[in-house]
Amino acid sequence: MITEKHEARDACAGENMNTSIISIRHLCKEFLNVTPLKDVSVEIKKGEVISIIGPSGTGKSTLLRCINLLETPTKGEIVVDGVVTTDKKCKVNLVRQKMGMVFQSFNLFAHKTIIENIMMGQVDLLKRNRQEAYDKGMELLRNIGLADKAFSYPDELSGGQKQRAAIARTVAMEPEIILFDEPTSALDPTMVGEVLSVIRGLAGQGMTMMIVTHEMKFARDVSTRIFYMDQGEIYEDGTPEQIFEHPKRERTRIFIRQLKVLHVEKISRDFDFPAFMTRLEEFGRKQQFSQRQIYAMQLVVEEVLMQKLLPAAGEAEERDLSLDVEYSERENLAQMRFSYNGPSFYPFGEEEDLSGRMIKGMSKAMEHKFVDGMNHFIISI
Amino acid sequence: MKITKTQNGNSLYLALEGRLDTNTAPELEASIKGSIDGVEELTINMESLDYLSSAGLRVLLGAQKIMNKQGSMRVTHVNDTIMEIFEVTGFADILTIEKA
Amino acid sequence: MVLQKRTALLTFALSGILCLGGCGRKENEKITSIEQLNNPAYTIGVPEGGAGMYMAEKYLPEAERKTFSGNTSGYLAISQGKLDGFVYDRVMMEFAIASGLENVEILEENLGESMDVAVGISPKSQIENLKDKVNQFLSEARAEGTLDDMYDRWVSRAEGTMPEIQAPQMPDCKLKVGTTGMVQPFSYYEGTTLTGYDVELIYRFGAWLNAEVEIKIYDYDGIIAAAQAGDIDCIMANLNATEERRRHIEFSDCVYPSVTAVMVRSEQKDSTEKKYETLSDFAGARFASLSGGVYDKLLQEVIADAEDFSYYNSVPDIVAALKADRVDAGVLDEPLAQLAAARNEGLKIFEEPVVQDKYGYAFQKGSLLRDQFNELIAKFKEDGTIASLKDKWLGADESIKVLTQQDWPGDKGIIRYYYDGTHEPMTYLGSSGEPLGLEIDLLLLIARELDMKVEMTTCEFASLITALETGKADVVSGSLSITEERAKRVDFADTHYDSAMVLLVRDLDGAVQEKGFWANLGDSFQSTFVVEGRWRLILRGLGVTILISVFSGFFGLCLGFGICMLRRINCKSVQWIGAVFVRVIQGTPIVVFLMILYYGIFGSVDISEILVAVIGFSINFAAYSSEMMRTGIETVDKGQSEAALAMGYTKGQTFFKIVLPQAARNFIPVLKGEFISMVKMTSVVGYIAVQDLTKVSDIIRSRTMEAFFPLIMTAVIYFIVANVMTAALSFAERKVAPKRNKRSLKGVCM
Repeated sequence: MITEKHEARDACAGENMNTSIISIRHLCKEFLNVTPLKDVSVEIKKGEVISIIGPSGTGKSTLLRCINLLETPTKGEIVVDGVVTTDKKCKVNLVRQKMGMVFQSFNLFAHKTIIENIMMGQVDLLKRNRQEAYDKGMELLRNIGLADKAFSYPDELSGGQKQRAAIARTVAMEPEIILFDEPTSALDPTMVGEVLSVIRGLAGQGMTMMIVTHEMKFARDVSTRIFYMDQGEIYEDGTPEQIFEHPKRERTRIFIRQLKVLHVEKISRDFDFPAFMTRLEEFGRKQQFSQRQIYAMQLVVEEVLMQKLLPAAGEAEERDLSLDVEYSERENLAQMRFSYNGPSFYPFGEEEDLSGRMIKGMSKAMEHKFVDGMNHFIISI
Repeated sequence: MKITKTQNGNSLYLALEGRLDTNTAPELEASIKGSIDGVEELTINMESLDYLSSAGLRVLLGAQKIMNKQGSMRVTHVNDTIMEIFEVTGFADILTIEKA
Repeated sequence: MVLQKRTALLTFALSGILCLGGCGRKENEKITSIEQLNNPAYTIGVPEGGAGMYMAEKYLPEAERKTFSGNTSGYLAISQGKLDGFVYDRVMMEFAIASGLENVEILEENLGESMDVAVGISPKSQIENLKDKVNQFLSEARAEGTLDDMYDRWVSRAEGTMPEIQAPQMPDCKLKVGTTGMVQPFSYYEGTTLTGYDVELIYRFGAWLNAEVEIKIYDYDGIIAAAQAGDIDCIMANLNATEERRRHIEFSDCVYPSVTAVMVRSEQKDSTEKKYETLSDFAGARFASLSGGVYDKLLQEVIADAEDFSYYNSVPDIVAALKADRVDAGVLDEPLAQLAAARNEGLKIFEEPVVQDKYGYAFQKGSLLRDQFNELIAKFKEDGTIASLKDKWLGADESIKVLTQQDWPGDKGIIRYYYDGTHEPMTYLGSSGEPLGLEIDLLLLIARELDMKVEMTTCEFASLITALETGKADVVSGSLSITEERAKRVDFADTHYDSAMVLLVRDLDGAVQEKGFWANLGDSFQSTFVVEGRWRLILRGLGVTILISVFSGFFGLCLGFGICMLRRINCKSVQWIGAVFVRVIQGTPIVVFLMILYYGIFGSVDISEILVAVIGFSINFAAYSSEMMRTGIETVDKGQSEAALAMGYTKGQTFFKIVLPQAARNFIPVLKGEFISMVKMTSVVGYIAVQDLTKVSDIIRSRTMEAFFPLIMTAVIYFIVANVMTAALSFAERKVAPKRNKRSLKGVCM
């Protein structure tokens, strides 16, 4: 399915092979005490869907905001559709009309109803008449299932509904490219899906998009190109397959790896269990585990860590206890590895107690190794 | 975890919501012990229960033992994952489980 | 629990403070002489800058002094016991008492020497040689006797009528005169009209100078400053020419000398006031009677030691003297006394009459009419006609006092009736000269029964009997007492009216104390609103308040918006100017600011005071509203403008379409509150000679001498105005920023 889509897009791209709608040359953005963008140069072609990933604070949002000049670049040049936007004489507002932006905090106009939000830009900027704007707006709302909220005010909608409406507002302006600045980061996990599916729909229609996101699976599914940004530049640039499966450069590799691995160190009795349970849940969701898998992971932590390993480590002061959770896509297995020093110790002992039975029943494999004074207890789910 | 207790004559009805783990199991234990006297029928509704660990199982076992002497106990609205837990641990034979 | 404790503590503390405040008032001994006050234990009030202040400094140096601006607050302080003495112009204090100021009296001695009252002249007046001209006018007026006549009319006789003075048809200059409007009888408001001695002087001088006169009202504090600044050419407001004032303005020659007296509290009347039980208790009392009567002799036959008689021209004068405690009893004919008692609260007729008297109609000796009259008089007595006639003619309701119409054929003949037209309520003339009176009315009723017409003629009392004797009249009357002497010359009908000579006295245990709260309230309401049509004055003041508020609000809002926009411009120095402006205005008290504008910036410009007030309040309101708007704008989420800009709106479009509407929703409620605040602040415009609601209330208080009611009424009116305006603004708000029930769009079919 995915590959078919990519083929179709490549065909279009083939025709417009030479049209870069955005050219960025040596873009640099400095603030008083931080420089998020040091030197960025890239060409963006029509029809591309680019996901921008990377650690926080590495200028991903700044890049987007420089493209539509919400931030003024310190150095460098940006050309949008043939217009040099970094030029002082450029009429920025006209260029912006060709670019849509979707914000993390939605930014719907609070004093207008949803349909008015969608109509405003069309009427004021594109000079359409109100009836036309209204019809187009209602059509877009119907497509995303929000037609019945047309006359509601933004504060009456849920987060997911607001973001979908914001996307509709952008689409109504028929832009050449839509910039998404962490569109789902402020959403409750249950609402992320509905927004992602709208974005997916747009990609399917051939809209050129740049998306800053932390939703890795989504990025992989929908993008034609991935920018991994690190240290103020586009550290690595490639197809999703290249970036996620075979990252070339060191930092990319570390990042990708970290996506799939959850690592916790120096676990002691002060360990914040509820927080970790939530982290596990998020990790599982990102990897798109099933509910049962997530349950099993949490159960393992509770039974193995809380009931067995920590009480046993209780007396000794320095117990070096750590946990790695790694997901292997090929085998569709989550592997949980507990590492701890001390004498050789098998958590479930000789007897078949309740905890042991539970874990045995919920996991696929259990293994205990003792190497160089370190215990390794591995459970596969 | 939220426990909703309803007492009707000598029937005690508990609805559980949330997680039944090491932290919350004592709550359930106290709740049962506090009202168990003279109860002949104990029903525990697990429809809104998301999670159950060994600590929870032990409390259920304790309750079952008490009710074996006083009357009967049953567990209702168990979801698939928890059902699996019951089966894997053999609790499916100890407890009276009703799907609805 | 904590809340209850705190409330209790607060109440306790407050009552403690109030008790202390109350205890602070010393119960000093009664003041009977001025020298008594020259003691640090006593507090005297003096008028700021007035003659009283100098006299008190010079002659009562030991006493503790408190200054008051103007008289009204001083009177109030005295009557409430906050002062032991109040030093002020004698004439004005006497008028105050006559107007109803209670519980006070004026010590007989004067304080110090008399001081000139003169016309204040502005050193900056545009009129050349104004001082010489005034002096010339004064000396001419004095030579013609005009000034004496004026003094006589306004002060001595308290007539209170302004004569017609022709205003010049073609004036060749403009004369601006300042006065206070709060001192009876020199400059005060009767209803909505300014009148008084000084006001007459103003008009006279204006006519003499051939100038167009403009009168401006100030308080005593402001009036000197106004003259100094040249806002007015001269001051005619019973102004004492003190040394201090001479340093700032010039004075004309003396207009009349004013005498300073001291007002003190009088003891509660019912404790020391003599209680009169029998006629003999009146021995040694002070009596008042009408001039030209024989009452003194008659009285002395009945009451021992009745020598203290004062003679007055009219019954109202006697009434005033009684009320002011200048006399103890008025000696009057019973019907006149009845009328006075009915018309005046606090007076009653002493039960024991002095001398019995019978009135009767007189006929020629041997007249046949007499028996006919007797028959009917007896009948009317029985059937209550005479009683109802008494009610009609002796009561306070003037509207029912109309004679019975002569609508019968009168075939049986004509009665020629002569009467004295000055004997209210028996026989007298009305304001258009028409005959009125109980005896005339009774005569007409008798004539109706006899089917005869009546021809009426007025006649001097002394000549009534002669008229009978010479056959000109068939019957005469006029409170004619039936006496033995007269009966020798004429025949009297049986008496129709048992009269007497009676004493009119103050009603001590009567009406004033009995009056309940609501009745007092009713009286206060009457005197504040109804008497002299004062409600019109209040309406005028209210109109000024509303005018200033609305215009200032509107212009202030526009200016405030402008300043707010100014501070958004990127240029640092422009922003700085805006910020400084706001800080300065916010830091200046509005009164000071208004005075700076009026006396300083616009000092030499001839500009309407109301315009100055509007300018002042507009600037003030602008400073506050610009801050509110700025805050409102700043609280709008930045994301809103980012989204708009990202869409392609210009900065301007973003501001007006996205940011401002949302900001308005934030700051409009606050602005409403600020506007209402400003409405109340306009109460200070009296300082710059504007007659707003508060100033008008002051003027009325200076006439009614009441403290409480007019102030409460003013507060109530402000409250109502504020609420009405809030409702109007809320209405406008809803129209401009409608709330959330838009289910339809304009220009679109759905």
